[in-house]
Amino acid sequence: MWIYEKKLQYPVKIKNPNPRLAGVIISQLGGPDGELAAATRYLNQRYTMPSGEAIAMLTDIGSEELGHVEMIGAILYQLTKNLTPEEIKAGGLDKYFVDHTLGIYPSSAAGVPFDAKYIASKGDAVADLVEDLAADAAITQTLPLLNIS
Amino acid sequence: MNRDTRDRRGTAASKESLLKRIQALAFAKTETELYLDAHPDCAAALEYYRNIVRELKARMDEYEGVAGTIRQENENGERWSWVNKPWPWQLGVED
Repeated sequence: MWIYEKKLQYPVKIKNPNPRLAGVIISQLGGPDGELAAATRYLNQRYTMPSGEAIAMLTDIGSEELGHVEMIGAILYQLTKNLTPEEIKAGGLDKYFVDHTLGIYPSSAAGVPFDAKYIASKGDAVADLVEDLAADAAITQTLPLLNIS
Repeated sequence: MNRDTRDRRGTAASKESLLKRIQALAFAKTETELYLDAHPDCAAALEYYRNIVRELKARMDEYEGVAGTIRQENENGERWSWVNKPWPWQLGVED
């Protein structure tokens, strides 16, 4: 089970809202290679791992990823704080705003809601662990792309 | 009225640097846990882990003394201060 400590894993202190950046970073929350996908993947794959060591590893990594989910939420919250409708529209967030206002909704930058289809959980250690390797490689690709905004 | 008698002094800057120390220690703790998951018999890693945990616990207690409860079971005031702001994503950006 889980214990929550009232602190972020790493500080998030954004003074200047930036809706355009938020619209890109949201993929790190709810996109195919984002933190929620990572947490969901590991925490679901762990049940059928054959060894205690593998279960421990997936449990601990998955739990850490939940802390990352929180940090991305904190980033998005601070990037969109107190935006006016004009700023929202100018920042390209009008389509998100109509359905979510400034609520944090796990989705991709393209507006696709988070989906369990982003993960595989096959009950086979080789298939699952190879999927984890592929997912990690994908994340390594995605992170530099966040600069695109 | 808040009748919590814990010491609330400490500048914002000193609380912030204490929290950063905690976050650094907690990260080292997390990484060591992952290492131990793959190397459960590594005595050196286990000793390293215990040293980190010892300092982390001390710093967390110190932080809770000046900034309020961040672990629910440590509530020792007359009120459930867990509900208080700032929550972690508000810290430093909101009153």
